[in-house]
This record gives sequence, structure tokens and C-alpha cells, in this order.
Amino acid sequence: MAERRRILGFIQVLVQDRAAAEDVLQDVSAVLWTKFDQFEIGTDFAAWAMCVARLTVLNWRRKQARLPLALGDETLLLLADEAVAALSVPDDERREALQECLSRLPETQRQLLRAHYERGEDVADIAQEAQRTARSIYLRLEKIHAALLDCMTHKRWLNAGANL
Amino acid sequence: MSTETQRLDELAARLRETPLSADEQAELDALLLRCPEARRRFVDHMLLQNDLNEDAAALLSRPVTVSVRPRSASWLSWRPLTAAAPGIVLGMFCTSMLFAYVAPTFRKVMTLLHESFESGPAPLATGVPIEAGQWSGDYSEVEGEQQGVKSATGTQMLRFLSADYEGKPNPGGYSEDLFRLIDVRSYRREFSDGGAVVQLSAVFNAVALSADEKDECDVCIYALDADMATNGSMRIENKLFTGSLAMARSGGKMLDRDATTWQRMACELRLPTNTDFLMIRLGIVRSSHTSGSFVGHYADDVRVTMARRAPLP
Repeated sequence: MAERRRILGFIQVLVQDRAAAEDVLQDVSAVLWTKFDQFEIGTDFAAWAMCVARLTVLNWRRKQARLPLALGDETLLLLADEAVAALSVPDDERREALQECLSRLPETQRQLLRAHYERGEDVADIAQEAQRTARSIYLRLEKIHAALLDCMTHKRWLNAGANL
Repeated sequence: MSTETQRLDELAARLRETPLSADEQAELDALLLRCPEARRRFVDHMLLQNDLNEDAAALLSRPVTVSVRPRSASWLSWRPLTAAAPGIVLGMFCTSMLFAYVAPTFRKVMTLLHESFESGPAPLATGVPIEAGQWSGDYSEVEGEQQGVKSATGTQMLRFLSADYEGKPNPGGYSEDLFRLIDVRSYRREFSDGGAVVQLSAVFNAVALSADEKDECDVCIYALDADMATNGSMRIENKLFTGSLAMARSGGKMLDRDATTWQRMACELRLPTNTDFLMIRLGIVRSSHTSGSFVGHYADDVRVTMARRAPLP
């Protein structure tokens, strides 16, 4: 599961859309399955899978009439390198950092995340339920995401310092 | 938080909810291309979104002190994949089981060098180095913002000054190179089976060049054995090329005459099992051969990483 999540995360970085990332993951899984005899047991499975995913995403993008986000090939390859580096952190370590950062959020913000991500409610539904404008909910989500990323970046920085 | 990161946050937030306009997409593309910090942030955004989409319930409900362990097979119970054709489901299921069964402990991409020229000794101008851990090559210096060029990371960057070094037998060339030797013997366990690659990446920039100046940048990695790396023979021109165990180069990219943008060059080398040292090279090739001086050519954000990757059959 950790490997699947990591590979899906890698694809998400390159296709920037959840549904599309799931589609591409199926293609990647099929390729991995057919080429599995080429995988060297004992080597890094996720790194191998991400190489396959990189090529699969490029092929997938060429076939799309319309992309979720039209980034240039050069940008995409830079993002792929950045994603590989980011995903080199052990999955458990990254998730524990995220969980801790989530735990520091006020309960109202955690409830908003539950509604949006756990129950799948869109911004308009949440706004109607909370009797607020969609714009205000959207801005709150933006603020929460930024706070979480700042928190995780800070933790990463502390960990890097601890490992020196 | 920098204004670029702030803008990146705004665009990433919009992207989560609605498709970006063509102008916003172009703006985001340009931002990601020129700004390494924005790329890191964008990747973090996408991974955070992926984590929350995948497993918000577990992430938001579990006590912090408990290590997160994936719930077995929970994703198959609700994921849209279950609606896919049985063959695909079977394939996915088998592959997912394969992930769980064969995936070894994930080994990190190891950073061998991340140089943004913020600290450390000034580069030497003594040609190809024979000691690890020091930049050396043709004349260069570390500078702050100048001539409209801002460093890609931090406040400092490397400036190429001329195509010559101290005591160069045939001065007056038009290609400036800067080298660094990296000792990888302590990492041998990681590549002794031939299953590792090294990646070199650096960004380049130049002042606004005239239309007839078609200057190019390139990067190169050489794998060397200990004798070759330290016996001084590499100082002889072309010896690096002929004497290395293996090499990889990416070059021929023309500098874009825009002082505000950095261009990234990268290359990758599968490490021979008997590698002791890596020599990395950053180069600028001037098109105007009339002078060996450099009007304003820069490099920054140099990264060398090693990663495990199974060789193709």
C-alpha cells in the first residue's frame, strides 16, 4: 500500500488530477505487471515503478485532447525529478509528519477537511451547509493547505538538522 | 514566504477546485520552470492532496503517537476501480498485491552534492581537480545579484569568467569548464550490483546576449577509478573523455538571452561497479570565438543524486 500510495502521488504530481491519476495508475500497473520479469528483486521497486510511470504519463499526455493542466515537457521533467526527491522520504515518516501537522489544526479546520476529503463534499455544498459564501470556504481551504505545507516543511527542516 | 510561493499557493488552490485559465496555466508553467522553490512547493501541494484524497479518515482521526499503518485492502472496497472491467480489476489487484509482496524497503535517493554557492571556499582556477570536495577549473568566482541576474537559490551564484586556468598550455579557448571530484567509495554498497544511477542537474543563466551570440551550456558526469582520478593524468586535455570508466553528457542547449530565467540541464549515468570517484563538469561554450572572456554567464543550484534503478535487460 505504501508503494502504491507513493507511485500514485508521483503520478498526481505529473497529471494534477485525481481521476486522471487513477487512470494512469492502471496503465502503469499493467506495464509493471507485463515487465515484472525485468525487475531485479532486491532493488528499489518504487524507483523502478516511477521510471515506468514517468514514461506512461508522457504517453498519456500525448493522447489527451485536453489536459487538466498544460505544462511544458521541460517543466514536467523538472517536476518529476522533484517528486522523486520528495518521495524518497519513507512513507511512514511523511504520513506521521502530516498527521502531526493535522493534529495541530483547530477543530473547525479539521472538520472542514473531513467534509471536503473524507465525505467528498464540494465547496458549494459546504458553504451552503455552513451558511457562508463559497469564496470564504475556498479561502479557508487554501489557508489550511498552506499551513499544513509550512508545518511539514518545518518538520522536514528539523529532521534534516537532526540527521546532520 | 516569498511572493512566488504565495502566488504558487493561490494557483494550486484554484487548480484544486477549477481548471485554470490559459493565462494562469502559462503563468504557472513559467513559475515552475524558473523557480526551484515553487517546484518543491507545487510537488508538496500535489502530494498533500493525494494523501488527503487517499486517506483523510485515517489521517484525521488517529492519535498522533500511533504510527500510521495502511489498512489492508480498504481501498478496493470503495475505489472506482471496482467498477472497472473484471480483467483490469484482476490486473490491478494482482499488481497491488505485487507491490505489497515484492517491494523492498524503499531506499532513499541520496544527495551526493547540493551546491548553491552560498558558502564554502572560492573555486580554484587550477584546471581539473585531483582532490575531492573542491570546485576547480577555469577562472570563475562566486557572486551575488548582478547585471539583472538573480541567483536561482539563495543569494549567491557561480560566475564563469574566462576559458583559461592558471598555467594553461594553450590559453584563449572559448569553452569554460568547472569541475568537482566526488568520492563515492563509501557508497559502493549501493551500486556494487550495477543497479544505481547518478543524476547531475544544474541551472544556467546569462546576461542578455546579442543576436549573434549563440552560447551554450552543458553538464557532464565521468565515472573514474581511484588511480585515474588522482594521478594527475586527467589534466591532459581529453584524458577525462578517453580515460573514464563511463560518462554521460547533456549539452548543446542555447542560452535564451533572458537574464530573468534559469535553464536547467541534467544528465544521468549508470554507475560502473568499479567506480571510485565521480567527476562532474559544468560548461559554457561561447559561440563568438574572438575572445575567451565571458560577459556574464552563471550557474547555480547544482545537484548530484544517486538512486537505485534496475538496469534494463
